[in-house]
Amino acid sequence: MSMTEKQIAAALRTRLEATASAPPIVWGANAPGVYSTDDQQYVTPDLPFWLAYQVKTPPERPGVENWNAYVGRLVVAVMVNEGTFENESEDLAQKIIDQFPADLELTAGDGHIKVTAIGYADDGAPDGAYFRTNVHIRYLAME
Amino acid sequence: MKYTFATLDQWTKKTEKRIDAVLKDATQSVIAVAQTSKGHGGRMPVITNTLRDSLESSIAGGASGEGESSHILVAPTMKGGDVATFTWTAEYARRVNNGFTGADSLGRNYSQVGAHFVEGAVDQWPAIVRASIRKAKVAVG
Repeated sequence: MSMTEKQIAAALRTRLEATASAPPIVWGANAPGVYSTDDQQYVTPDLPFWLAYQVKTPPERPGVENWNAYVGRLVVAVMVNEGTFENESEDLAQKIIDQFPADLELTAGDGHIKVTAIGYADDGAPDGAYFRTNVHIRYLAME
Repeated sequence: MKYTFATLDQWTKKTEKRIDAVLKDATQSVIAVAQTSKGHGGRMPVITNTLRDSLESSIAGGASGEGESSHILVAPTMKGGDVATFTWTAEYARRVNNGFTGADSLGRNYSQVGAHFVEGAVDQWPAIVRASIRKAKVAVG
């Protein structure tokens, strides 16, 4: 039995990328631009786009067996133009929340990821030239 | 110890004592986790210590304090049912926690994802409470 953080990230990313009418997605805290699976090039995305990354906690070993439980959250920052009012960002945030309903299960390596609660969006805020609304999807991954 | 109806009051007091002990320890611990710098395995970026030192801790209708260690002074005065508030008041606290892209008032350009030191600590709450329960069992019995 094994499951790696990379496999967890891949499962979350695959699910997010499958969102209908999703804008460009920048994946990872260290990405300078959007990651295109076709040409594997990084380019600067036009607005709106999503900036997705994980917030992890240290893995726990809940039993005597040699496996871990990983509690974390997928954060997707919805970036839209400033001055577009809140409809656009709210609609895009809701798309993400709908794509990760509570109790959704994903496979990662030999383990599973379960969405533990309905996702939620922070209040949006002006952010440089953008308007940023962070969406939080909480999960528990177990081998 | 075996409890009977005659010693029910003793059992209640001990349970309350244990609940308070867990509450105090877990609250103090979760803020300590949020305040842990990236250099020490946490999520908070600490360069000048301004953000960490901007912590304000208070209990509704009770103790309050300011500063990096204010939670250590305030949390131990909590009792079951109290509402405690912990706030980072540095101007850029929200930007550091939630992420920021663009120029600040000094013209410096940033493009960073959120540090999420608050959420990172909150997500550890169940594990923190379990650890506090273990400690309370030893301390209170």
